[in-house]
This record gives sequence, C-alpha cells and structure tokens, in this order.
Amino acid sequence: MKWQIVTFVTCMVVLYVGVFHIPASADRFSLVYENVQQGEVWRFFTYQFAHIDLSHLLENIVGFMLLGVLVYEIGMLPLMFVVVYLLTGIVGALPIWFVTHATILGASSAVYGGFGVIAYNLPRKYLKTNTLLFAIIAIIIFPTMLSLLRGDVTNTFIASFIQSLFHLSGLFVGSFLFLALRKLQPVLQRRKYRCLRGV
Amino acid sequence: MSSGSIDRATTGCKGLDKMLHGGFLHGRNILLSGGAGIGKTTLAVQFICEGARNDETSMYVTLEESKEKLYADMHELHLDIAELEKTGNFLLIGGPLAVITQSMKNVNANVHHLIKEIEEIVKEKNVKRLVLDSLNLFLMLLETEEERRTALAMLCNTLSSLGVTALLLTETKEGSLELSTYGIEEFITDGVIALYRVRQGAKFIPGIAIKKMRGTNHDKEIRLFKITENGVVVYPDQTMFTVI
Repeated sequence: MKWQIVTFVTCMVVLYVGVFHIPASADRFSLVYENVQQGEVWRFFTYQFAHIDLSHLLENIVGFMLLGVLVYEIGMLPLMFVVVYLLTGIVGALPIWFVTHATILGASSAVYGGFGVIAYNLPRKYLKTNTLLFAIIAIIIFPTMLSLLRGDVTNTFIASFIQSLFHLSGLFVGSFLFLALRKLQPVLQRRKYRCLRGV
Repeated sequence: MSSGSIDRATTGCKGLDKMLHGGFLHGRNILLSGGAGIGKTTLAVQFICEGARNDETSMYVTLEESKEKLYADMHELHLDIAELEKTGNFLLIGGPLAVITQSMKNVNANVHHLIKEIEEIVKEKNVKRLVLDSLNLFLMLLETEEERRTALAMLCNTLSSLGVTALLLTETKEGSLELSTYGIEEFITDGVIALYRVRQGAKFIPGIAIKKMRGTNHDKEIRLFKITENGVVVYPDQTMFTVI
C-alpha cells in the first residue's frame, strides 16, 4: 500500500512540474468562466494541474508532499485518497467559483481537501478537531503572508480573502466527499469482499 | 430439562452425543477449546462430516491450514472430506491467515466484512453447520477487547439468527485451565467444550468436559477420549479420577 502512495505522490509532482513547463499553461488550463461558457468544460478537470508561477507551484508541491507524508504515515487506502484528491481538485473550488466567476488555477483546493481527509482518518476526536482547526487557521493566515512576501500590498487582503474562500471550500468539499464515499464504499464494494472464498 | 423431544445436531462422535444428551441444540454456537494437537480439528471435521452425511450443508472456515493440507491430514484419519465435497454438502473456505490478511488489505476489508462474507455464503448455500478454525486467529485480526467482543457477538448473533450450529475452535496454552485465548469467548458463546491433557502418573491422558451448554442439560464430568484411526472417540462412561 505504501509504495502506491509514493508512486501517486511522485506521479502528481511530475505532472505538476510537467504542466508548468508547457508554454502558456496557465492560459490553456485555468478555469475561466467565459471559456467554460464557450464549451471548454475540460477546464474543470485541468485547472488543478496548472500554476501561475514558480512560487505558486512550489507552495502547492510542498503542501501536497506534506499531505503525502501524512497519508503514508497513516497508511490510508491509496485508492480512496486518490479518488478524493482528484475529485476535490475538480469540485473543491466550484462552490465559490460559481458565485465569484473568478479565474482559478492550482492544486490548492485538492491539497486542502486532502488535509480534510487526513483529519477524518486520525484516530482520536481531539486530533481530528485540532487538525481541522490548524488547517483553517493556516488557510486564513498563509495567503496574506505570501501576498505580503510577494510585495502585493495593495490587493493583499482582498486577494487573500478570496483565495482563503477557495481553500476553505476545498477543505470542506474534500472532507464531505471522503465521508460520503466512506459511507458508500461498503455498498459499492460489497461484492468485492471475497477474502475467504478467494483463497 | 428433558432432552428426548428436542431435535439435535449430532456431533459425529457418539460418546460426545451421549454427554450432550443427544447432540448440540440447533442454531447454537459452541466454543471448542484446547491445547495444540489435542484433537480440536479432528473433532470439528467429524462434526462437519456428520452434517454433510445427514444431508445438511456444512461449511469449514479455516484461517490456519491450506485446503490440501487439511484434506491430507483428515484422510489419514479416514475422514475423507474431499469425497464429501463432491456431494455438494461440504464447503471449505479460507486458508492460511497471511494469505487472507493480504486479500483483506487489497480490498480494504475488515473483520466485519469477513462476517458479512460468511453470512452471504450461509444464505446462498443454506449452510446448517459451520466450523471456524480458529476463533483466536479470527479475533487476532482486531486490536482492542471491545472490538473483539463486538465482532464475536456479531458473528454469534449472525450465525444463530440464520439457524447455523457452529463450532468455534480456540487454542489455549498447554496445561492451562483457561477456556479461551482472550478470556471473553466463553461468555459470549452458547456452549463450551474443553479438551484437556490430564496427568495420570507419568502419562498425560486426554480428557473432555462440557463446561457450559445453554438450554440443555449435559454431563458435568471430565471424560476420557482418544484419537483413533477413525477420529475422536469419547468414552462417556469412564470418569477420570485425577485432580487437575
């Protein structure tokens, strides 16, 4: 199971870096309201793999690798993690996007969704609560700090507020997806349990 | 309590049937405990073969041995379960625990899914008798006592509700007077049969005792038994006079 987690994390990092090196990848793959209206629905899937600049890419790669380490340590089922991560990458930011119509790109919704999944896999209730609280605090504080570091003082608070909303959306959508899939899993996989008959 | 009018599941061992006043009550789950190599599996196979011969679908769930090994061992004791399997009245599922745990990991299954799988087969094949070899390995898949207690209660309730007479084998330490590995099994199951090695001078004599059997009267003494070429033979009239 653990080698599957390592493989998935490696593949995703390679994919992020690869897409970043495609010329004009931000324009080609980001979720732009007007383009979607013109029928480019594939952007719902691709926006999670595109990044605006190197710092954006590194932020998400570091966040994703930290997520990978936690999943590795917990020994979570890779398939469930992969499904939730990729689904959150698609739908995590949509609740806010449908309201703001802002152009979005990046893996952060999926990454924060992944942290939500981790929180629900921790063995104690206080660990779950603390991890979720930590993620929420990080979501609110980090974008502001990063905007200040970039020198983007004018739009810092508005930009970071909107960014935080997308991240929070990712966190909650990821958690919700995981809980919903976990409830459905026994029904979906019922016929797969042939552990005794299959030997 | 009168036992003459109750329809019972004969065990395949006449001496034990006599101790039980006719056999097990249908739909009950009985713990069969004893040390390594004392004859639990042999007695369990006799119980299963008896069911299959009486046209009751009987299922052996092993978490210890491979099918081939179990067939070979029982063939030595003139218990030809390979032949019985051909009749359709006998099913053998499971295998070595390491293989089962790997299969479970592959589909993210847990003990509750194993119980569900057993339930599905019981319903599908109309199984009336079941042996689980062994309960201690089954419970080893769980971490806490609470989980073990819950899973065992779930297993017992599931089997009872389906009318399955089940023999749950559990291993105890040699010379120990304990009835189970985790100390909870004997409280949850309907009955307990213990196999002992009782010291008589320089010899160890195998003894069998019914420690508990809900809903029926039974023999309270420790009786002598032997493993012969035809399986376990219990001598219900021979009392053992040794303090254990």
